[in-house]
Amino acid sequence: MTRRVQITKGILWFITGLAAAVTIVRFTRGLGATTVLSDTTPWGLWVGFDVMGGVALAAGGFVIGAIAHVFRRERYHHAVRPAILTALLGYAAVAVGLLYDLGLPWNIWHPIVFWNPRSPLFEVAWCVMLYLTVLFLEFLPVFLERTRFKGLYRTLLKAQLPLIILGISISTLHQSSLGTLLLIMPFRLHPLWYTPHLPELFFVSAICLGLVMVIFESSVTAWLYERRPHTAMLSGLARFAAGAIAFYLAFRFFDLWHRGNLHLAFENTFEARLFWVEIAMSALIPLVLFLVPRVRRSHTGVFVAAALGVMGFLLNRIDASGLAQVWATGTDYFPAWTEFAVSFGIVSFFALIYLFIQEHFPVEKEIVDEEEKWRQRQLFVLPRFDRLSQVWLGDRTFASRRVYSLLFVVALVLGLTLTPWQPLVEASPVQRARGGEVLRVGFPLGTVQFPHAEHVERIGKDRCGVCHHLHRPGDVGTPCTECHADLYLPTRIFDHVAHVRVLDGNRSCARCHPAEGPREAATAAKCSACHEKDMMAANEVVTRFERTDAPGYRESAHALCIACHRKEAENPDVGKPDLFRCATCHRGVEPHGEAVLEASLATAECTPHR
Amino acid sequence: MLEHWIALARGPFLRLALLAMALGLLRQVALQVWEISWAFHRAGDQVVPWGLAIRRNLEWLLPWRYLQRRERRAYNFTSFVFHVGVIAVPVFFAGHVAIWRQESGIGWWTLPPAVADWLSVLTVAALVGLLAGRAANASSRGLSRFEDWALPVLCIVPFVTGLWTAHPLWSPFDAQAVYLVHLLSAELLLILVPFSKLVHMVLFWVSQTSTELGWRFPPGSGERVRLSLGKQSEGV
Repeated sequence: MTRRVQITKGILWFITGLAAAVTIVRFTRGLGATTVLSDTTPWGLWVGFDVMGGVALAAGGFVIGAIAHVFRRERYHHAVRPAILTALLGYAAVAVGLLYDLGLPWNIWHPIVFWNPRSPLFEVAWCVMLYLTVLFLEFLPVFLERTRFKGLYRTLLKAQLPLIILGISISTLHQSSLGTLLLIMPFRLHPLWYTPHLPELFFVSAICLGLVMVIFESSVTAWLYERRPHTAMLSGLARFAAGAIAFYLAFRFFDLWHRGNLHLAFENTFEARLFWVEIAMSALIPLVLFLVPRVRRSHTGVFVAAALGVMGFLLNRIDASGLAQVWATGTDYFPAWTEFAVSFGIVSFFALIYLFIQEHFPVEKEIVDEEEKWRQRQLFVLPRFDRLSQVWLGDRTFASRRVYSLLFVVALVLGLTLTPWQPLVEASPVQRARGGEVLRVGFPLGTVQFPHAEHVERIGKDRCGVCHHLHRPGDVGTPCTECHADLYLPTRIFDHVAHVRVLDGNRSCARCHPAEGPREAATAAKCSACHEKDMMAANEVVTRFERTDAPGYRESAHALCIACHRKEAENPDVGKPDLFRCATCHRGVEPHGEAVLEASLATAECTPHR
Repeated sequence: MLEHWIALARGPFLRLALLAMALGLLRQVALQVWEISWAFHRAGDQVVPWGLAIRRNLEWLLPWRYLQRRERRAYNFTSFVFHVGVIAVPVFFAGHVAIWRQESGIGWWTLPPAVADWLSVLTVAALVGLLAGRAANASSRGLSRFEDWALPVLCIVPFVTGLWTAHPLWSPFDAQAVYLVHLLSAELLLILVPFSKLVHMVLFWVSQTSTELGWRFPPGSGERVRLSLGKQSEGV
């Protein structure tokens, strides 16, 4: 065991300890206490990184299997066992990560019994189960090689080729079905990522990621165990990777151009910048590096290119399942530290298992033989004593076991103390405004004294709709709090179940949804088609009628009030240039009333903020 | 100002200290069991001496065996008194049990307040006596490490400040500051338990077993010792 391995293992144990603490909180207190996910952002880091990224990272197994066994490139036989091990552990990590993500994790076995063949998730679930089984059978000979189960070992070796072919077929289905999963959100995923060819694109990018991952992983293993990497094999793989990446780039850009969306990449938007960062990291830079023969022959060069590629393709999965949906959802989700801890903790835990298997089973013969020799030598070393306490330290295995468990426990204690054990995003329900002429609104109640009667008089008795833009059925002047029910969180206001029930079940889909094309909020009939009398026309302030969730109370009230007040402040007839400052409305803020007033006079204008 | 620190020390710091002690001790026990089983598999005579281990534990737990010893009688007796106090006062003091009952709903029998006070005084006296005994004897002075001096001194702090917290009138210092020092020193001690010789509060129970097992050499051990020392040519 080298010093590098020991330090790496220590770090991995520490992260695993943090994740263990979060795991306890996750499964006793639920998702609310460990994530900042919401109805608008139900997919966070755990889906993007652990599930989408994890599956793609594991693609090396089938890619190397195909190269070495189906195309019979003997040179790559070295890489098969580590790649299959990575794939096996990667898929196991995905299954474990999914348990954290599912709201009802104990129902994870449902796809086995309750079949829903029209769901892409059904395909995903079955592919994961089948492929995990196949990978286990592919890897089993490594466990059996130095045991007495010779018969089973030989049978499995004979079945190796069919198993690998089976693995390739299932992987093809599975990698692409994760792309299929995103096909149901054409209006949520940004057009730079959305394409009807997402399944094929996911498959191609998985091959690229699989190849760079194998390069990355064997460079790292070689560095850890201080061995020379198989240069010929790595540069060969780099050549394969260059080809795959070139095809991926061509495919992606041709598809963008063909659908007429290429111009979006050259606009000055967050998505365009994200797109170029992703393309540069995943494809452009690695491709250029892999094409230079000198880089291909250098260990550092190949490693840097592969590491960039791995991060870039991971970013692609994270973009597709999260970042490229922000433009539609407007979410300001950023993962909590607990989410990072779980994501990195699962990776660390499975990395530890990877190192353990490498050291105890013949995955790469040189490593396990070296380890075996090292363990034998440890039996005959002189005892070592701690200088300070004169306590026997035991042999190296003994000592490192003490250090690892210490790091794990320290991280576990830290994690358990730092985790809040209560919902990270707290609901703050808004109370209904009270009073007659002057309404007391805000949170806590009475922060803002809203002169309702005065506003009615000034704006006009027939123009309630400027503010009361939507009513509950059969109501007029429905208060803001009916829909903007929480101070900060959005509220879901469209009740699909209730509509289905009232409109006579499944026969009524066509009342709102088109017969062809996607059945979703964007294509459905507008609410005003039926609820004309409940709704006011959109005005200069209220424009977003198409949303099926109402923004938080503060956001909506600020948007409504400040927009009008700013307009009126600029109106010379009104003659109140300070009308849009905070203290105009926030008079009742105690005990900080004076401070708010001063602050608002100091700032040029009041901006809604969270 | 101090209220803020006291709130921290009573809340998160206390949880951290208790967790660190509990999980740290669990780690020590787990490692010990692992190492015992390892020693067991390598031992020549693979019989676990349960009876012997239990008898030894009881012998060392109850005072009369080592009180019968000739040498350093006073020191041994003081040590026994200290151990009674250091366990009884923190666990059975009425104020501590009230906090447990308030936080977790679990409570237990408590010491009468006067007994708790006298026991605290006795414990502090015993600690001072133990330190003096250690300093007076040349051979134990030579064997002492840093923690052998530091831990008894650190142990005195929560007892003295605890007494002052229970009886603010006896204290020459600000009551809140005393309470804060009481909390923080006790928490420091709790955190140190799994990482210092205080770990004997759990390892005591298994050390007899490991000692018994450790001395049963497997066949061929002499050969290995010679190999390790690089003296293959010499006889055992």
